Amino acid sequence: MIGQRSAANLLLLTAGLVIWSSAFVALYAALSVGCAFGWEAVRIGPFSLQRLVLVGLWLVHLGLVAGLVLWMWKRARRSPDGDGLAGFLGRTSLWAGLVALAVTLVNYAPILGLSACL
Amino acid sequence: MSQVDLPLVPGDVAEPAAGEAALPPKLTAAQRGLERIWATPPGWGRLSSVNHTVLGRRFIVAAFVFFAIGGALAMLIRAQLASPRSAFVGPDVYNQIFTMHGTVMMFLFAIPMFEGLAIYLLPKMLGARDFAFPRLTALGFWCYLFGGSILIAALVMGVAPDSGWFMYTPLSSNTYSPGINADVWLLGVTFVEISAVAAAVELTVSILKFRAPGMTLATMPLFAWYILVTAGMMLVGFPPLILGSILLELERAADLPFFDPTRGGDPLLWQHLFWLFGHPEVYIIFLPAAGILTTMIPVLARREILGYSWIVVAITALGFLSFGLWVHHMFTVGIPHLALSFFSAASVLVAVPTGVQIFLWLGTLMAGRPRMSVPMLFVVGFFLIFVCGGLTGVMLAIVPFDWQAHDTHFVVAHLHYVLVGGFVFPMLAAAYYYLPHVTGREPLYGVGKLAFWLIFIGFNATFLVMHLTGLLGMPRRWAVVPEGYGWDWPNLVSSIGGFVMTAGFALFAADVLFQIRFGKRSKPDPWGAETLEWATAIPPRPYAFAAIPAVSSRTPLRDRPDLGAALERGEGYLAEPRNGWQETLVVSIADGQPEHIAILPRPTFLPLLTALAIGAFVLSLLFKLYWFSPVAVLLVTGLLLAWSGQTGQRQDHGPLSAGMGLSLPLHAEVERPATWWGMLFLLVADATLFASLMFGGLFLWLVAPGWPGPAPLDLPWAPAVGLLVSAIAAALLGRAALIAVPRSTRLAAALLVAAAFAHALAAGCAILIAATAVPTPTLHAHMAVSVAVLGYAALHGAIGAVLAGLGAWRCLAGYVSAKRSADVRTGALWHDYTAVATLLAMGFLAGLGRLAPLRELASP
Repeated sequence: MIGQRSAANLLLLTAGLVIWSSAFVALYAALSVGCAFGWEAVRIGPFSLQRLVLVGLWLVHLGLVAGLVLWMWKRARRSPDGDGLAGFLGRTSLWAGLVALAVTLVNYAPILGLSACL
Repeated sequence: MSQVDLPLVPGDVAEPAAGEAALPPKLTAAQRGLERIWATPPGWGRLSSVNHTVLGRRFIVAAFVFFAIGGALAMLIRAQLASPRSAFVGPDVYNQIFTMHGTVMMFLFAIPMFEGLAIYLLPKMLGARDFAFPRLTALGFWCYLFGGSILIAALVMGVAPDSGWFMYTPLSSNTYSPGINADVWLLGVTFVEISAVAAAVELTVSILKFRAPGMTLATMPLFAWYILVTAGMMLVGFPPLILGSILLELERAADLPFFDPTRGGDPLLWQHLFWLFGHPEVYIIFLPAAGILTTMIPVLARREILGYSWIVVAITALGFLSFGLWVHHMFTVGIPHLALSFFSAASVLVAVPTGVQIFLWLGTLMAGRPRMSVPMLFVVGFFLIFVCGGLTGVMLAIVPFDWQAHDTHFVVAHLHYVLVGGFVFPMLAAAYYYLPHVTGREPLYGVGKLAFWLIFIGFNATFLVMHLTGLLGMPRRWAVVPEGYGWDWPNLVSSIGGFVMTAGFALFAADVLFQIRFGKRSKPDPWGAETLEWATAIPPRPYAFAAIPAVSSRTPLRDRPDLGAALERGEGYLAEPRNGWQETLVVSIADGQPEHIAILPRPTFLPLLTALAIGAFVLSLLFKLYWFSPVAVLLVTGLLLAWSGQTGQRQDHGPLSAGMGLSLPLHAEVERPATWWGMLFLLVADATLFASLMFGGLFLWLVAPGWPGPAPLDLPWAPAVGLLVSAIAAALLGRAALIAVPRSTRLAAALLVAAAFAHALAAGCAILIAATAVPTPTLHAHMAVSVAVLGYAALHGAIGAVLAGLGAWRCLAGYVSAKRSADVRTGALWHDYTAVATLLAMGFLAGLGRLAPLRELASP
């Protein structure tokens, strides 16, 4: 458990965005590898292997950020309000998590539509 | 207790003579003592300064000198492009001019300028007497100065870099740049980068730990938040460029084909490594400027900043998102559209946190009672220019538009709107705002207004029109303007505008010089600011604060308007000088509770000598005097080891009085002093470099032509096992030494000697593997990457051996005891990291060896 006045809150401030970064690296790498090795041509039901891998990676990261935000939201509710240190740390971490959730959703949404290897 | 011989400080208690800047009329006995302890010696002794106020000023002055050089180069560019088919300079010289203009402005002006500002201001804003590692600040300054001087000397001699400021391969490779021009860039810029990484470690540790008691993360000045994020970005953003420069220099000097597509390399790897640094770099430059705007705007608007927490979230997001944009410089190189969409979306998204800040600044101005002044004029200029630059940035983030405008003058116009608007205008505002603090005198504001209008009008005449030049299709970097394309008149207008802008900058420089010489004495806090930097004397004393204040809000001077005078009287912490120690307080990261007293090193020539030795190493590589390079390395190592003798304590002191009824231990007697944190953040930068190297290897495997290589890489099992076992043993022995310290420092020393041997053995094994498994690393990029990875492991083993040996010596020399174990603890970080990195390195090499044949299955 991270104390409400602990320096580890700085890690929480960045945690969601670290997950966004992880998604960026994973998706860019999976796309590059998949295009090189022909995953787009491998069909699994109505989808290509490439698409399934990308969507899967995206959903895993979205789930992680969403879980983090949920946990931080509950934690922030326990923090005292106002401009005190605990309130500040809880509030900023939660907002940064929400920002991470939004950018993880928007940044990689083209996975759903664009052709993968063109 | 240890005593130090103190120098006499001339004039330290004299009344200010007529015409001198405003100084406290008379120093108390305690202040006289502090002055003797903290002052920089006169004469040649000035070169030994480690004081943040002195070094901050030097950084700023040097950066402005390089800015003037870069500006003169810009004028040569505009003179060349003023008329069609100009014969002013030939293409060879023109290539050097535009390359050096970009290089000087980015590496020798922008980054050092904000470093200087942060070094000068931050300790005072945070209520500390200096930074965590004053000698590192000095080393950073000398590395910057010498690296910059190498570049400028090359320009004067006509052998300056000429491949553009981003040095794309293969243009910068040996085939197309056979002279030393590219080497000058790679080595000179890397030299300057050492300075930047040193500053990043310094800034991060100092902001987190060196603050006034009571200053929490929630009450810390926003400027410190901005610099904290910037320093974090530097730790992660600069290593890819340092790695790229090392790899390209290795290719040029030793023919290792990292970027040669005929031997399994790829020029695109350079672009990735460069822009992994290059795009965050834009925000690394912008964020400190935004931080200074966030500091000035509330004061000029006479209202507290709106949305403190929102700004912290926005700049955190900006710091991360700016790393997701690098490929938007590479939209035309043939990357799949879906990948481009990731970078395009991130490039658009990054505008949101930037916009949040702009609206909060505007809201603060609207809610306050802004006063028009010269700093405010430049702030308004910032808004108008930077917002336009941001909007054209969003245009360029859209792939189809970028394909049309790529490498045209439209991009040149955009980047100048961003960088001049987002950095130069805020810096000029800051110059007028803080000059009274630096000099103790008031500026001549009438001249400043004229300078503003010349710069503002000249800038827009130059670069607004340049958008059109680009949309009309003129590519950047053309040495001549051909006739018949409609490019003549916009270039002429840009050139006229450029000279008007230069007149403005010249007027600004004259204004500053006149102010220093003739300005009226300033009041102590002329702007009515409420942050701690205005609680010092102006110009500041070398110790900054006669006593360290306790802080309970974001506006300590509003809480207590007479705080400056109270501190002068010694009403605060560490007011009484003792033992010739340069003392400041160190606090807990989040809540700012006092933890211990740090004793900082006094003036020394060691940073200067070390920078000279590093310079000798760089020059030996530049002029291919490779026989001298190992000598220079030994010299650098010896000098760095000599730093150690000046720090630490040989006896336990226990808790000492810090004033105000508080007793605290010295830094030598805590588990995690500043050096531990410094090592931790240095390893973050180091790990980023290693990750970039592994990325480079995998990138070449997947993308470069000519894979797999002509011969498989077989790792010899005996030295490979030897490398792994000895690296892990070194880490375990380092940990064992830490456990042994409370029982016997002699035992700890023996264990550390064993750790040093284990490290040396690991380094030897890495070299043996390279020599046996990769006999011809020039054959293929796979071999070259393998040698680079093994070299990384060998280098870490060698450094580990030196650090373990140093730890053993400090145990035996009395610097280590049961209470004083931080030396061993800090060394253990390096030993642990080296073991993990060696394991990863060997795993990577084994993995790459197995992956290589799979490339035959991949589509070309």
